[in-house]
Amino acid sequence: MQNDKLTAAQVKELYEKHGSALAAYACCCGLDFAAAEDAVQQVFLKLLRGGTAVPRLPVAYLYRCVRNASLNLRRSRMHQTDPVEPEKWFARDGGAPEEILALQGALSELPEEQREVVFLRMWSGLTLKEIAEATKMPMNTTGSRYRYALEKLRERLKPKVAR
Amino acid sequence: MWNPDEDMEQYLREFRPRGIRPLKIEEPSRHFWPKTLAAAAAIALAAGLSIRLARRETAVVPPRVEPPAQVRAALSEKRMNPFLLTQLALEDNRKFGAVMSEESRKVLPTLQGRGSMLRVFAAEQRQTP
Repeated sequence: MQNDKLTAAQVKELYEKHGSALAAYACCCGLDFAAAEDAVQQVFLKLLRGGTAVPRLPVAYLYRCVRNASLNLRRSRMHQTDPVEPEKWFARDGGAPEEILALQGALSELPEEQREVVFLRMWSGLTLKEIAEATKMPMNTTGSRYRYALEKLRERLKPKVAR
Repeated sequence: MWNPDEDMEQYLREFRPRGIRPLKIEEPSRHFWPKTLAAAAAIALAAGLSIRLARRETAVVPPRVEPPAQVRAALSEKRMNPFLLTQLALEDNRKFGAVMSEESRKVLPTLQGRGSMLRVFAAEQRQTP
């Protein structure tokens, strides 16, 4: 897996394609939406400044970067209180807000490595093979993580999925 | 064949991550170079001036004060050979001490007695109109 430096156009394209999913992912790491946007912006601005070599499939790398940035931001904002009303990081046409909040809660409860695979697969559009390559994990491990994650999500969201 | 994963995937795909604000790219300021150059020029000018001033101050030499004639005579007296002095110091320390005291009286300006520095200065002062 070779490392390359991205051009500004490539960085912008990645931001437009994956920025929203990355922000939702940052929210799963315990940030409110505004802070999640900040974390994602931090990562992309660093890429724009150049000098950072990224893997051939940069999406998984971006998820890791956003996770680290989120944890740092969360640490620096420890004293801040949580918003009174729960925020929505997802939208769904004609969906009830409770369903969105239920999904967010279920995603937040997933183990980190399973959540990463679900986000990469569902909202960043990578195949399991690409995820395995990007995360440097064996294909079987990646597949198991994905299946376990879906199983847990199904358990949590059972009545809504069966609808 | 029914696949529970496909159902779940289909359900999850109905959700879209909330839109994120556009990437804010800071354009480099047009006024960056003139400001930087002006600052660099100011620093260089200040450094140059301070170096020049420092050199000028060190170049000022205090006026030389000529010692009085008697002192000059004492300084120009022939001193003892260092080799002999070393030999004396090794053989007879007490005698060496006495010789050194005598020599120092000759060389260093005296402030007591008839030929003292103070008297010489006073005499010179009287001579000058």
